[in-house]
Amino acid sequence: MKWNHLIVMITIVFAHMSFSQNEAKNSASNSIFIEVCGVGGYGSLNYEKAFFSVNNIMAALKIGLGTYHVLDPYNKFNPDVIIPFTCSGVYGKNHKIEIGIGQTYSSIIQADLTNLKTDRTSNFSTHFSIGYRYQKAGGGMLFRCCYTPLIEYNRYYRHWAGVSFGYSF
Amino acid sequence: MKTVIFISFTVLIISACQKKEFNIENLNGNKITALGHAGLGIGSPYPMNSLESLLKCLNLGSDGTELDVQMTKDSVLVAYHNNELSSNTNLTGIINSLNWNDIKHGHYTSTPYLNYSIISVDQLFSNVENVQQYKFTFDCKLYTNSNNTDQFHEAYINALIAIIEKYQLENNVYIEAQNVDFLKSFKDKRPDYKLFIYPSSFQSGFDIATSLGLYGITISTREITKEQIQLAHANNLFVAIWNTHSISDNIEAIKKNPDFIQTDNVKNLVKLLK
Repeated sequence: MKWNHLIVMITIVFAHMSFSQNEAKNSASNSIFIEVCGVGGYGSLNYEKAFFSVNNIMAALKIGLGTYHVLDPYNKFNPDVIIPFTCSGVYGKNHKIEIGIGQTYSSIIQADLTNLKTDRTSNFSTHFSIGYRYQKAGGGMLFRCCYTPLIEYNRYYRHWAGVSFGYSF
Repeated sequence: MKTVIFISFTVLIISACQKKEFNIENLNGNKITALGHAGLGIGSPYPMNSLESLLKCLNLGSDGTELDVQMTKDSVLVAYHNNELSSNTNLTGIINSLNWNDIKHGHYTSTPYLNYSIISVDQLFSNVENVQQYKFTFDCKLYTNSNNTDQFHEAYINALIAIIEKYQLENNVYIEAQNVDFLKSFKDKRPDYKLFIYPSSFQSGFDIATSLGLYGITISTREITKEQIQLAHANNLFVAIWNTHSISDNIEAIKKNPDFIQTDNVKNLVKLLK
């Protein structure tokens, strides 16, 4: 079994176990935000759910959706699909430190070099995130600024970063 | 106040929707040939000169595209811009120090999750349906470690002629280069080919093009005025301009009446000219 798939499985099991715990009341556990660059490539729309929140410590799962092109090189609707899935730990009151790990599923359209058609190639890549987050416990504006290195196709290390703007509720 | 805002907004919308009319006068039958800059140009997630970028450019309705051309050690022409492969691919070295077999599995690394292939010019032409309906400008990048420049130029010219004749594109391909000796050698070998000097200033380009009897000048739109293009046309020299990124760049470029525009904003240029 590939180690990246193992990480996904551990994350899901951990999340399932943790959902059974009581969430801290009166705190915003949902967030929606746009990330410019970051784990989605050039950008992604993300939904995050905090599944554990005690004192100033929060753990959350995040799923995103990004793309590069909606139309393929032959101008047909055939979008690239990028889905980052991240498990994060966050520490702090309003100004927080965030650390995370996850997988990105990418399904990219490429021109086939032999037959005037397109090919869709799918891959998993590992990503990390470490950075600063501004998010009030009661919800409202969210801002993140993270270093998000990628291990593309779990082979090539790439320095990368992202900035996020969104809303917690 | 609301009325003023409403009227201003309406006027803005109407003026934005109006089709721009241009009174084009040039040597190209009073028509500007709309070319992509190495495909979709700078700023696209598709790397410049990748098959995806070049195909998308053609499928957006352009008349063709410019592409950067380099030659491998075994004389295969490759569509690639930079001197050093490590700048944006998973390979190292320069194209001319490697054989095609070393390069053909290489891919661009400039954008996360995208690994588009490096392609040969032959692969490009074999992947374009009705290739003869398009125009192509080859920007000849003569990067080599060879000490025998004459021999390198000779091999490069032979490779260009071979690929152009293979696809019967003699009337569709324009050759541009900064190297005067290369252009001179090409002109001696094939005087009927359409050769462009790619100078740093209009005056030097004009002098070289007139003295060698070239087809034209390729130059950044920032380095040439409408009057200089008129002067070139008066001397029977075609003019290709590049370095247009925005809508306003494209409009300003069209107003100068060049014969070709190599743009980084293909969709807009096609819309303006159709």
